[in-house]
Amino acid sequence: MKREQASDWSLEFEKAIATSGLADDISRCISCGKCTGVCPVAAISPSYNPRQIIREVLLGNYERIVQSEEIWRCFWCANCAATCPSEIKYPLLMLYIRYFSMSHGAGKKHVDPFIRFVTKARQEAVTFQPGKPARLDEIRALRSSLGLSPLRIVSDDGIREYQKLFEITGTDEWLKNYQETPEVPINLSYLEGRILVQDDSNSGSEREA
Amino acid sequence: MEEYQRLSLIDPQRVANLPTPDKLFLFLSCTGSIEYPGTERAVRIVGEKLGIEFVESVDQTCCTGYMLTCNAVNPQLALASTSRNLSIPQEMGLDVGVFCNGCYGYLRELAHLLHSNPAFKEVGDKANEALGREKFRGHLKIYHVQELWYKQLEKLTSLVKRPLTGLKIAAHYGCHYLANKDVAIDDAQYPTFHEEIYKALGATPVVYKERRACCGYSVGRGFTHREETVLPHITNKMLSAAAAGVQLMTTTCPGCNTALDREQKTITARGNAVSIPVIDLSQLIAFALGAPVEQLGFKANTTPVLPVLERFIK
Amino acid sequence: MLNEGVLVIGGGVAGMQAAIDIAASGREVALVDKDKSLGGHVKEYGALFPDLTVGSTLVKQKAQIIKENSKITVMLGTEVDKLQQADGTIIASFLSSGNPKEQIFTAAVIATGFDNFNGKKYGEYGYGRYPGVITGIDFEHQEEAILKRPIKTAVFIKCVGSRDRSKGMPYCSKICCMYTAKQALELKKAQPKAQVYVFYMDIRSNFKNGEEFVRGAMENQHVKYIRGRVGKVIPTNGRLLIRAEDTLMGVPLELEADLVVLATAMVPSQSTNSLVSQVGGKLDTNGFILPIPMAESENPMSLTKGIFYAGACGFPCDVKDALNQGSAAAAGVLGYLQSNRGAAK
Repeated sequence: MKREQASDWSLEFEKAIATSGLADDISRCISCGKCTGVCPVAAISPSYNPRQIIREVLLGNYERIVQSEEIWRCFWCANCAATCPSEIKYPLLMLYIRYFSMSHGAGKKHVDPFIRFVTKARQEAVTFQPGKPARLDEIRALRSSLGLSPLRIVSDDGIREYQKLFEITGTDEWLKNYQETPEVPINLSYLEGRILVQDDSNSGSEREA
Repeated sequence: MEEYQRLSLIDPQRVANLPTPDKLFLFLSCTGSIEYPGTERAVRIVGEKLGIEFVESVDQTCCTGYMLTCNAVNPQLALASTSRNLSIPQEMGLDVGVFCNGCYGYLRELAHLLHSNPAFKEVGDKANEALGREKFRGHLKIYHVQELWYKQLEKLTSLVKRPLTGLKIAAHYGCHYLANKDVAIDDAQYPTFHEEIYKALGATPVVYKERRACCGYSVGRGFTHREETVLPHITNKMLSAAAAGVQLMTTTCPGCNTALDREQKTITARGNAVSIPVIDLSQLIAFALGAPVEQLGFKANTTPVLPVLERFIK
Repeated sequence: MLNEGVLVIGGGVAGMQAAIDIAASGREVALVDKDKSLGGHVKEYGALFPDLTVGSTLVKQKAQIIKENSKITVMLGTEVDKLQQADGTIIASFLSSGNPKEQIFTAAVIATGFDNFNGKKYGEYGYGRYPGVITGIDFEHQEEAILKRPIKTAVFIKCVGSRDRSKGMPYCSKICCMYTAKQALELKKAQPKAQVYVFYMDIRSNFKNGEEFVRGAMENQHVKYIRGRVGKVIPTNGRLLIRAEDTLMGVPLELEADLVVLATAMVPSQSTNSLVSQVGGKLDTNGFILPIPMAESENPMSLTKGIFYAGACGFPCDVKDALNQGSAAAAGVLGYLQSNRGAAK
């Protein structure tokens, strides 16, 4: 263990966020803690602390953010944004931070469960349509009894166009990259209360105390 | 005087500015279509009673917000599909009505980003161009149906066929409507307009400790952090509602409804017995307005609804 | 009658002090206030920082001096409707019980003071909804009754309507740290067994003896200061549940209280804007009077030719500062009249 070195921080992180167009102006944060005070996740899992995450970003402690388990806990309820005296759109910041973390090969286990929804949505242009025939029959029966189409169907044109969007926005390629990129092992870990410890085994397997 | 009645922070100017449209584009919700199709039906029934015709399009796709906020797609896809989806009502010359807080929040935020950031606009414009669609111009209005219902509260009151006398109802407002502080008609911290609607329907509004706590299900944490945070959170919320004597809860988002209704089974199985039916506000209104109960799709609910509504059906 | 007189608009402590100092030189002063009595906000205050002079005592003392000075004409229940400059004079038209009248003056002091921030704008704190939630101003007005309530735990919430750009109030209201410390102390003295918490972001006690005063509250009376802005107040078990983060520990916390006091900010007074703009003065982005840069005016309280200002219409200030500014504006008026209008009659 050594003291945190300010020389390890990077201003690039804050700059990247500012140019992302999503969550500019986080330098307005006055670290008042209102966000954390109303955060439902912090209430259950106090090592997740939105105020401290903003500070990490402002100081440029990007390595700790990238490897953070905590960032994946956010419910995205926006209670923080609704109460923030400095009008910081924290959920958009969090969205960006998660993508940033992924771009460093972290966080895959928190994204993997959703890839199947994306794959299905690409085929049907609707999310969450179940695959199990019995469940589909149930839905068909209920919807029909309400005078709705048996299933919510997007037109063939609509599906074609949606698939084209996957192509032209580079999403198909993005997904391919995502799936081909292995998760980078993490060699830092945190205890509750944010005490930094060196992981001697360097295995990255014990990320949570 | 009840707590919720002592102070209203509803913005009268914003309510006054809401339209009473004849016709709106109905933006369909994936979760709604699959989990609680009765909601969509109820929206149409209430709309009909208020003289609002809802038009849909089979070309409308998923809003893509969920996949974006689960970090499972390239963010540009969400911008492009918002641009494309909103070009449909734009071509029809209609404003948009939404009945899912998720779709509402994503559409508004993404439309704002498309409109305000040239780089994002280019993504949207390029997409629409490639599909042979009009550019999204950003002028159409996006409403959540709950605010349109509140706008016509007097008319709703006059249409009540089944006064819900004595029914103790509590609100789950959902975060992604109220967080839109620039347009939401009520205070993000202590809203009261749902309680006003319950009263208009003859019911007894109940406030509970965790009424502004979120459902725990947005951005997919129900899949990734269910045991760690989501279940303890929902348990806490629902137990606080039970402690306040809540008999029925309403939502304005099929996603919230899924979390609060379906998870009660697990919460109960783990030793905290709780049984509070959770339905959409539009379903409640449609019911009070006399809609045939079989049209409201309560069969879809995990926590049975009819036991608390039965006595109002003649 | 008052053609050579000076107009002082606002009968709060700043305006009273200005009137007293101008009249002491032998000049006629008209002291105008829209209220029914002199003393502005301060007449309803209890003990004032730093020497714990009682607000009403201070106002009585100033009012007595004014009463005894025949040079000062007090015009209560009177509003200044129009204020114009013409040929080195100032023409004011008054509205008093609906009757307009016009008078000419040689100089004027604007001391229109401030309004109190409306605590109801914070839905999360429930002011106006939960009887246990009051503002610091309510505390001053009903101190005796409040200190008699059974209080096991009291919570003071600072920065209500200040340092909050989401509410359009980005500035620090300056005095709330001190009055909160004072009220916490008073509560603790009245009910030594009560646990008193003050939630703060920064402690801004930069007044003479301010630091010692706040430290005294912590060290001698064991008022607990917690760094964090309260997120939510929720009624529960007949008490008030406070949710906040202790930002020094990085820990979200909850506690139950019987009394919650919101340290509401000083906000610009409604009447300042129209008066200042009529005489070509400007307001800053927060709605307070925009001062002339220090090196460009003869007197620090100068606004435009022959017109000065004093007190909280310029920016939130404590009572001592308001008195100082009243005196400074009076000096400005007298200097202006001496050099521009000849000696006093």
